[in-house]
Amino acid sequence: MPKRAREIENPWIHGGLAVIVACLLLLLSFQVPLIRHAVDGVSLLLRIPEYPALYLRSRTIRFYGWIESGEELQRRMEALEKENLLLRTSLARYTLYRNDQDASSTSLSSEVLSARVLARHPAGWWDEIKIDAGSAQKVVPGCPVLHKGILVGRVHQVSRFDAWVRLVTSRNFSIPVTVEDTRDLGVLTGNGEGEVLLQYIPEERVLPLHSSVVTALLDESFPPGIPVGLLGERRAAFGGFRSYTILPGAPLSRLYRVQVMIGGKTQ
Amino acid sequence: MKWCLLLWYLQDVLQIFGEDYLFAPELFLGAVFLLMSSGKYDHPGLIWLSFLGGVLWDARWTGLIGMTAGTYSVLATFFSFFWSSMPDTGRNKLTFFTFLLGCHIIIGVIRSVLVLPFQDATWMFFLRQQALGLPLIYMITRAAFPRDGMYGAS
Repeated sequence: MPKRAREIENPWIHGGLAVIVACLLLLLSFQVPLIRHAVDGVSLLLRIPEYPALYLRSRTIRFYGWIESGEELQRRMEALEKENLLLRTSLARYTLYRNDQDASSTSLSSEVLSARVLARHPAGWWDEIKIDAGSAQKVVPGCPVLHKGILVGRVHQVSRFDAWVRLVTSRNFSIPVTVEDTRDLGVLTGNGEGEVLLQYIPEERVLPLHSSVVTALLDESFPPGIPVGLLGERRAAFGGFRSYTILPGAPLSRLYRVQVMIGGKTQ
Repeated sequence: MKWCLLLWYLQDVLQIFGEDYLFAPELFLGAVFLLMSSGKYDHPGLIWLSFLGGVLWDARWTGLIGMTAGTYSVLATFFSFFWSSMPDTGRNKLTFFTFLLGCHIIIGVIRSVLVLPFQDATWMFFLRQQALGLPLIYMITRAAFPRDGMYGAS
């Protein structure tokens, strides 16, 4: 083979040329609008052979979307059913409690008011939240505040259109509660650091873990039977009494909307 | 040539399905290597074919015309040189598989670095490409050496 022909057949020459053309194209693709038209043209042209794949892909995506939306709807329905059940239970217990009270001394109306959380200061993150319901909506100090039927705090300061709610995690929060399974009574309070505690349980009593803790009948301002959470770990005894942690039933660090139970006898 | 067309199309289809999750395995380059190793086609023509396939790929997917074309051309040239300089005894299934896999990894890395923003998810695209590409590369190797054992004709 002649030398010139061999050179033409040399892959290095062709490879080098191809790379140079590729680099030129790459440079042009940043600057020449015609390249963009070429890209669009290729996409348009390939649309025909790609059609079955594109069609199948869109169908698959739609199918998965349909499954996911179904699951999402199912989850939401379950959450709403649970919330509905809790509210019904709370309402029934509240009504029962209300009937036992002296009608003349108690303002009775079992309304549940929905309120939005307006503010939560970082310095008092576990102490209080501000909600957009106030005395104009019949909110008074002492009203229980719930999240999906679970107690999260109580109103302690009310303005005309807003109110401050003291959370169950606050050191200054304290209400009587009962352990549903054993009927043991104790005092629920917070430690100001995100924990909720059940205090004043006699040292010799051993309570079953994960028992439901609900508000007790002892306090006039709180209807009995409002769920608070589940019994958590046992703490060391002190002075003949022991405390337990409570695993709150409500997401206390993610409160955006709450329900306020208005009416009833408040402090 | 039909192999190149077919595998380019298959690569395109895989990219359509895996657009959000992976880079499609480089089947087209595998087809070019397969034809080069067959000895029936002239290598310069195949180098330009790889360039053309790369241009089409860039026009369809990356938008950076020349990126894939240049990479394919360089790798095809290296393969041509490597395959031509190798003695007959060395041209076996294992060598072909290793070279194709190496090129596949190189293109994957180039795509990861140039096409996507540099973050953890990018490497998942790369890893998925390699994971999906491995059996396909093996199948191309089998097609290139249908009767041979791993180290040559048996």
